[in-house]
Amino acid sequence: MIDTKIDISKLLYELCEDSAVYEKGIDLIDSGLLDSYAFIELFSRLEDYGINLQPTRIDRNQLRTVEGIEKLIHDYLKENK
Amino acid sequence: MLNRIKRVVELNPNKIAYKVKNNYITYKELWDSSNHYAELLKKQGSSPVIIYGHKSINVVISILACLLANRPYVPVGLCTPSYRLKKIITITKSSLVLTDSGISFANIDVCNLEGLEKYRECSKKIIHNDIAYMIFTSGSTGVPKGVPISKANLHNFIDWISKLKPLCSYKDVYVLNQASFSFDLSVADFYYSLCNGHTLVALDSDLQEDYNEIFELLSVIDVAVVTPTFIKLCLLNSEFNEKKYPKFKCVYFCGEQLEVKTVQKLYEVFPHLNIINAYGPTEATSAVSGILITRDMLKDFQLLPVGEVNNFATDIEIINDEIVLKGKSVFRGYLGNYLGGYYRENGLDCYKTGDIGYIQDGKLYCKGRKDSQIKYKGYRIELNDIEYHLNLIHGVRECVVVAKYNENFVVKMIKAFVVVDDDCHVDTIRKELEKYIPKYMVPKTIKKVDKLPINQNGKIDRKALNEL
Repeated sequence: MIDTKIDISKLLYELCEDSAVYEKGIDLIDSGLLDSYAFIELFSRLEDYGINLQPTRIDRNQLRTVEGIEKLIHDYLKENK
Repeated sequence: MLNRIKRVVELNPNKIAYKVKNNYITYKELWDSSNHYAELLKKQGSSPVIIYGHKSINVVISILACLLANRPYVPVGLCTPSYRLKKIITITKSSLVLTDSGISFANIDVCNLEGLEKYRECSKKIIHNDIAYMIFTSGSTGVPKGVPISKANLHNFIDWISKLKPLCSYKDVYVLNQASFSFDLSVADFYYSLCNGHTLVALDSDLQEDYNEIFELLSVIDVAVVTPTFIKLCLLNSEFNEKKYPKFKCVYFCGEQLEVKTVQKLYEVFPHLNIINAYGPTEATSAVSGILITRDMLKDFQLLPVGEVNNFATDIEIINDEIVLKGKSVFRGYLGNYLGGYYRENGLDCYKTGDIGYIQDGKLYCKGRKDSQIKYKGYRIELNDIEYHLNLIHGVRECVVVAKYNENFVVKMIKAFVVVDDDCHVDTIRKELEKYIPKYMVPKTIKKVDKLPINQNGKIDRKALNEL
């Protein structure tokens, strides 16, 4: 059973320990919040929720914002119903 | 070492020696260009040469040209701010920066390789030097530490890695270079590849941000010299497996702690992969030990071994739980007056690594540090180095920098806690810090606090900080 109510901001906060993830419109990549370590952790945590995103099939720009990541998950869940 | 490369050139003149993106150079072209520029370098001066660049073909020619000219090379990555580069120039007493970057400094010649032609009419200098290269690492006093590695050290390392199983059995393979040339993990892929007639394929920094390019590149690779973090990134892709990447036969890890679960995942998708876990500080020429990680080790070990006693590149002893290196791999002390862990004993160069380790059943283990030095993203960082530069920033009154570890004691982030003036903002601190230290050293999180917690002994309470 896939949990469809993942709070991405909260998940990112757990990974980055920085309240900046809650700032509206923040660029997660340029700000350094989503660095390689956080990237690995984020994808691993999503795997725990049954969401297997493939880095090679993602436009990196979609990872820049919380909204972009939420959309990726939304699209994944739609495709894998 | 140069004779070894020369033999490779004679045997494989038209073979590709080095490839980055769509550019490549054959062994003969590399040898001829390097010799050409070496002659000019002998006329320019005799001091160490700063090579400020990333992974271009010119950087590789520059390295070989310096070795041929008997001038130590100092690889400095483009992520190094000019403030730090100036310090390195001062410490090395260098008179030349070779770069394609377009930077300029007063009182020192900064040019690209072609720019050396202006020395054509000068006479050659007499150069006596047994130093091959100098790599700079983070220093606890805020000043980067220069580690000179002699040609004898390097020769010993090349001899060791070229005999390391199964690397010694490969012929005509493609070797992946992931690390920047300023990070000594690259010493392993660079010299293993060029001295054994393989083709070195560099992963450009731009590519590291493009996952599709990484996987396209990996499809031609036989042997990867990488950090565990890099492979963890690759493992996120479910198509990274033996069926899709049948050439991929060996991975050499160094620079970070290798976790059991990373090896487990790798074996799941590459059942026939050879996995080498290597260990060594910059002060002892990239690596002094390495061991093939077998499946049996995964069952019994929480901590993976980093070497075995019958296969060390130099003498290794455990003294008061600390790994101490002695002999052929060990450098002759830092540039300048800093002594650190270096000492001489019975005519041997020795180095107290600061790594806590032990030997059990003939295998070497490393389980952490005695001090505040950390390994993060493969880089060696002194937390005091970051604190020193935070304290230089206007408005920062007090600070402390801590590393956060995951459950396997691998550093997952660097955090800074600062007490600042009211008008001092985190964004400003970050930007200022990037002027002083490379970006990989800048803490991921900089948190403003009213005061730093103090424990009963009057020291900073680091445990309490982690809970803030």
